[in-house]
Amino acid sequence: MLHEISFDVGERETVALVGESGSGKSVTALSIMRLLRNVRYGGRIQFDGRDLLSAPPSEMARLRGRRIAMIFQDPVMSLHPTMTVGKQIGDVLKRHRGLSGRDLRAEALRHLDMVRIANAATRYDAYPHQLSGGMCQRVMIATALACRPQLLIADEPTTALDVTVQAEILDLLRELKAQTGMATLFVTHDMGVVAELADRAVVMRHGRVVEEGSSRRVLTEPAQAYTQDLLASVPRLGSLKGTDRPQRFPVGGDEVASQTQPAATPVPSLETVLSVRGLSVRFGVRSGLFGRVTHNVHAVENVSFDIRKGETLGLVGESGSGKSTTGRAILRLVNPFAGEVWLNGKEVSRLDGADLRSARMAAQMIFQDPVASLNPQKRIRDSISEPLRAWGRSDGVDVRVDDLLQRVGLHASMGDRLPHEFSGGQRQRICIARALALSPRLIVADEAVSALDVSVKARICNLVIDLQREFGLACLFISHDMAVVERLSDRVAVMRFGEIVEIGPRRAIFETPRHPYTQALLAAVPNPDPNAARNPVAANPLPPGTALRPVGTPATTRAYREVSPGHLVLEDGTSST
Amino acid sequence: MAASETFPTVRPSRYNRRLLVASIMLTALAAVAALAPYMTPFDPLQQHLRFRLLPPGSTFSDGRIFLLGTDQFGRDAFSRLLVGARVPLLVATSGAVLGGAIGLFIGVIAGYFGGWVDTVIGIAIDAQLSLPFVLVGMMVVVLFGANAVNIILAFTLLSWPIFARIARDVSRLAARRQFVEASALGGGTHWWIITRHIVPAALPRIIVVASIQLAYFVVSESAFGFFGLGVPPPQPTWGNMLADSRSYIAQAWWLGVFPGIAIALIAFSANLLANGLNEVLDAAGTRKGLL
Repeated sequence: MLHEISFDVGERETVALVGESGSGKSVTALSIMRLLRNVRYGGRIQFDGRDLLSAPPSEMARLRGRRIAMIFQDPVMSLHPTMTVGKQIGDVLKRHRGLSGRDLRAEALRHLDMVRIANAATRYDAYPHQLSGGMCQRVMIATALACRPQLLIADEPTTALDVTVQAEILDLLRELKAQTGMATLFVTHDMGVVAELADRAVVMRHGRVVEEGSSRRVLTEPAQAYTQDLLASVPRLGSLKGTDRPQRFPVGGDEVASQTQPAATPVPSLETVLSVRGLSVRFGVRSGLFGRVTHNVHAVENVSFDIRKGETLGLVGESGSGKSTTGRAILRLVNPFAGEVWLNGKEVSRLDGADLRSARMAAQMIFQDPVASLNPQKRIRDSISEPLRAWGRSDGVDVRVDDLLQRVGLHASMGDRLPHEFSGGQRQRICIARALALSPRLIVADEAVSALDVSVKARICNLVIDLQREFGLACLFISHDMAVVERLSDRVAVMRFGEIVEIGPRRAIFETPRHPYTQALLAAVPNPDPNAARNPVAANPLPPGTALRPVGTPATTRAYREVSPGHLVLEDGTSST
Repeated sequence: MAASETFPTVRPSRYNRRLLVASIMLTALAAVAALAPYMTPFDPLQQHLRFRLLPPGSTFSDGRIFLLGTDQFGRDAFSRLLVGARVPLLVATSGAVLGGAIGLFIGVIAGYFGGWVDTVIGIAIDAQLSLPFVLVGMMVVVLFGANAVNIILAFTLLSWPIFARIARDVSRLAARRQFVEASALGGGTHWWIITRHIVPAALPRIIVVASIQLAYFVVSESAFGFFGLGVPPPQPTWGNMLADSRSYIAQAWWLGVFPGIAIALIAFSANLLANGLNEVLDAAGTRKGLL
C-alpha cells in the first residue's frame, strides 16, 4: 500500500499530507497511530525518540490520546451517540490525567470554551445528535486536545462540513496551534486548506511521496508534473473575474476535440427551457403521542427562476438549504407543495402516470454518487440503453450506446463491463451518457462532481461544458462548491433555508455580492493561493435560522430588490427565522 | 518516518467447496428419485409374505438379494427407499418454488410501493406467521385430503410469508437506490422497474431461503407421513416408511434407520446448499458493491 514514505513533523509545525483518494494519505496517518489491523510494516516511525512500530500495545495505548491525538473526518460518527459530550471529554481527562469530580467538570468545560462552544455549561450534558456537525467537530477537537498532545493528527477534519463552518474550524485550529504549540499532521485533499493552514506540504500519490516542501513553495512553484497538474485542476474562486461566460478547466484534455473549440461557450439563446414559479416543498414532521404532523420543514419556499437553452444556472447553498430538493421537485422525484414548473412549455408539477412519464423525457438528472446510481448487477451497456429500451426503441440501440460512450470519453468496447470495474470518474461519465440517451433539453446535476477527486472533477466539469455546448442543453447545476459553480454557470442562485436569497448573472454574484449570506459564503472558501490575504473569518454575520415552521404557516411572500439587470436580492437583508 | 505495508487481501474463490458438495449430493438424490423405477431390483409394492421382516442381505428364492431387508409384508426395503424419495423431493421442491415465487411477488409489491400496500401486506404476513406451521399444515391436509397436491398447497400457504418478508426488506432498500430513480426518470414504468431492478436484487436472498425451506419441507413431509397424514399407503414415502417401522422397531431396526438416514442426508445437503449460496452471493455482492 505504501512505499518508502518518509517525512518529519517538527515541534509547532503543521504538515499537510495532500493527495487524491487512494494515494495512501489516510493509511499513513492511521499507521502512525497503529490503528490498522492485519498489516505488515517496514521502516520506522519515530515519535519523540521512540519507534512506534516496535512499541508494545500497552505503550501505544498510553501514547494514544495523551501524546498523540487524532480527529477524524466525520465528527458525528466519531462521537459515541449514547454518551453526553461532557462525559466523552471527561473520560479522556480521567484516564490520562487522573482528574475526577469537580476538577474534571471544570477542566472539561474549559476545553469546551477553548474550542469556542458558546454556553459550554449547557452543552456539557448534550448528546451528540443534539449538536450540529460543526459543533460535534469542535467537541472532537476539544477531546483530542484534552491532554495537551504533542502531535495532533487530523484526517480530513473539515471535509464533511459546510464551507462557512469549515472556515470557522480552520480558524480555530490555527489559533489553537499558536496557543498550545503542538505539532499537527493534517490529512487533506483540499489545496485551499493546505494554503490556509500548513507550513509544509507532502504530496502523495499511489502510496508514494511525490513532492515535499514548504507549502508556499509547493503551491506556487510545484516541481513535479503531478503536483502541477493537481494544482491546475483545483477550482479557484475568482479565476473567471471579468468574464461573463463559463470556461473549461485548463487541464490536459482527454475530451473529444477540446483543442479546436473556443474557450468560452456560445451565448445562450432566448428560448426558455425551464421556468419555475413559486415552487414550495414541505415535509411533515410528526411528533407527540399520536404522531400527528405538527410542524413542516419548508424545504423549498417560493422559489422562482428560469433557465434558457444552452444556459447553466448554478444553485448554491449549504447543506439543508433546499437546493437538492428544488432539483428533485422539478423532476418530480418529490412532489411540490405549491407552485408551477414549466418544462419545455408544459406545466409538469401536477402531472401523473403516462403524462409525467413523457414529460420527463425532456429532463434528466445526474446524481452525486455514481456508485449508487448504477445498478451493480447490470452491464453498463444495459444501464445506458435502459431509457431507450424503456421507451420501446429497439433499433440502433447498440450503435447509440457506442456513440454515447465515445461522447463521454469512454471506449465503446467498455460497454460489456460491470460498474464495479470502473473508477468514480468513469462511472459519472456513464451516468452522463445515460442522462443523454433520450436527448433531453434540461440536465439537473445534483452535486454531480462533489464526490470526485480534483483532477477528475475538472475533467467531468469540462465534459459537462463541452456537451452543453454541443447539444444546447439547459443545465441546473446544484453544488455547494462555489469555485466549481463559478466555472460552470452563466447565472447563479444562492439558497438559504429554502429560499433564494440572491440570484443573478454569475459575474454580478461573484464580483458584487449584495446579500450578507452570499458574502459570507464567498469569504469562507479556502484560497489555494498562499499569497492571498488571510482575512480572519468574522463570526457568521447572520443569525441562525431554521426552515421548520408550525403547520398552517402561510407561504411567505418576499420582496426582491433588483440591484442591476437580472440581479435580484432578497429584501430585508436576512432570511426569516 | 518510514513505513511500508502489505495488506493481506482476501480473494473470494470462484468455487465454493460447500456449494460443490451440496450440488453433487442433491443432483445424485434427484437422479435417484427420477430414475428409481428403473433402478429397483424388486417391485416396491410386491408383497412376499414368506419373506417378512428379513434383515439386510437376505436372499430371495430366485437368488436376488434384499439389500436393506424386507418389511412386515415382505416388500423389498431398498426398492421402497429408492421410490420413496420421489414424493418428499417433489413435494418439498414444489413447495419451496411455489412459496418462493408467491412470496417474492407479494414482498416485492409491498417493498416497492410502500405506504398502505406495505401495511396491509405486513399485517397479513404477521398474521400468517403467528400460526403454528405443522398444526395448520395438518389441518389443511385433514380437511382437503392427504395427497401430494394438498401437501404442496399446505407448504406453499405456510411458507410464502417468510419469503415475502425477506423480499419486502430487500425491495424496500433497492427501491430507494438512486438507479431506481434514474430508471424512473428514463421512462421506466413501475412494472419495468420491478422486473429489471427490484426482482433481480431480491432473487438471490429468496433462492438462499428457498434452499433452507427445502430442507425443512423434506423433514416436514416425513413428519406428516409419520402422523399418517402424508401420501397414503401403499405408495412408499420416507415419511410413511418411518411411520410403519415404529411397530417393528424391536424386530427390524433396518426399517426405520435407512429412511431416517436418507431424510437427514437430504436435509443436510439442502442446508449446505443454502450455506454455500449465501457465502458465494455475499462475496459477489461485496465485490460488486451490491450490499
